[in-house]
Amino acid sequence: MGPTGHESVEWIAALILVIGGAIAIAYAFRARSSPPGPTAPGNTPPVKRSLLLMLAGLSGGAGMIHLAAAPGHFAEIGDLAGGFVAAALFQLLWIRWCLAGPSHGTVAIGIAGNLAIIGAWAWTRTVGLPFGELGGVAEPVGFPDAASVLLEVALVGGLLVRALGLDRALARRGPARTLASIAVVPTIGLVLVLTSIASLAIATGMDHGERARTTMPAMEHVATE
Amino acid sequence: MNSNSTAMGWAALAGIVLVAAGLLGFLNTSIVGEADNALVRTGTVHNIVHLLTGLIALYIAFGLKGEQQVNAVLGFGVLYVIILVAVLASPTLFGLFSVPASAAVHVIHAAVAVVSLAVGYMARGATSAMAR
Repeated sequence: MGPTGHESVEWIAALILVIGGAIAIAYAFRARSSPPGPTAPGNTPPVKRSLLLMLAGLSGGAGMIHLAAAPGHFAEIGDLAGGFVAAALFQLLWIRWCLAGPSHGTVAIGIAGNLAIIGAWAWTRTVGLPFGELGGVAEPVGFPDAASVLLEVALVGGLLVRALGLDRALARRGPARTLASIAVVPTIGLVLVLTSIASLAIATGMDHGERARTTMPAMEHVATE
Repeated sequence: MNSNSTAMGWAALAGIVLVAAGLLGFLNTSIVGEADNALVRTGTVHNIVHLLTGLIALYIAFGLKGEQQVNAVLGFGVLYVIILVAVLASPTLFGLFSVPASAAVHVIHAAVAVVSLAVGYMARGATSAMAR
């Protein structure tokens, strides 16, 4: 198939979704202007529930990245890699406490634990570990660790919202409940995508900055081999 | 067909298309994959994104109901707006995609984003009207 034919078929695939979408919009518009049918009653969860789901997702994503990174680091830095397992266990077990409705203590532990993990990462990326094979050498920033830190920073931010009671203040405003409920899907979606890509990068050995920068474009080819 | 079933139908359609695209991409078929003659050229990372977001859409379609489902369809639209903007800003997603996103892929991302937001918004309006 030549380039022109190839492009034509790509456009046909896109058109199917566009036409299907147009039909869906037309149906939604008609349904909106017609008398209400047997629509399910309102069941938007409270702001707190939506926030907890997002926090659990962020912690789960960061924990999974640490878990994926642990085996490779055992070969690289020996027992020090136990820190990855500890971080993963902490972040994954914390989900259970979070979903159960976190107390002030659970929130404080979440903030302190994740700030410690972020601090350890920042140390290794600026000063380097004080001992071991890589002692005194600052490691480059790679995609997986950057993704993990991004999730942890968002998690600490969300936990601060909870600790300061901002979610309760927001819950008194009408649209907050809806907006929080809407925000769950993009948050969990981005966590899933970032975690999967980071795990793939780790599995293909592209988990450190310099290597990643030079070989990242080939990552997908490596993964499919 | 009421607003909720339209939202469910759209989420199901988007989910099936995205999951199929993701799975076919892993098989590297002539329909989706890295082959030069594939209908929609994608790589592993792109396939993962399609597969995961497709599964989310299917969960929205069949795992949620009422306002939660409508809000989730709106959220799915927001997710695809983020994906659309990121891939428009960098067609290789900052070096993560082995195959740069084509114009048709941008249209697919835009269609999912716009239709999800429109269907979710209108379904939400209908649900709110009923609540009143």
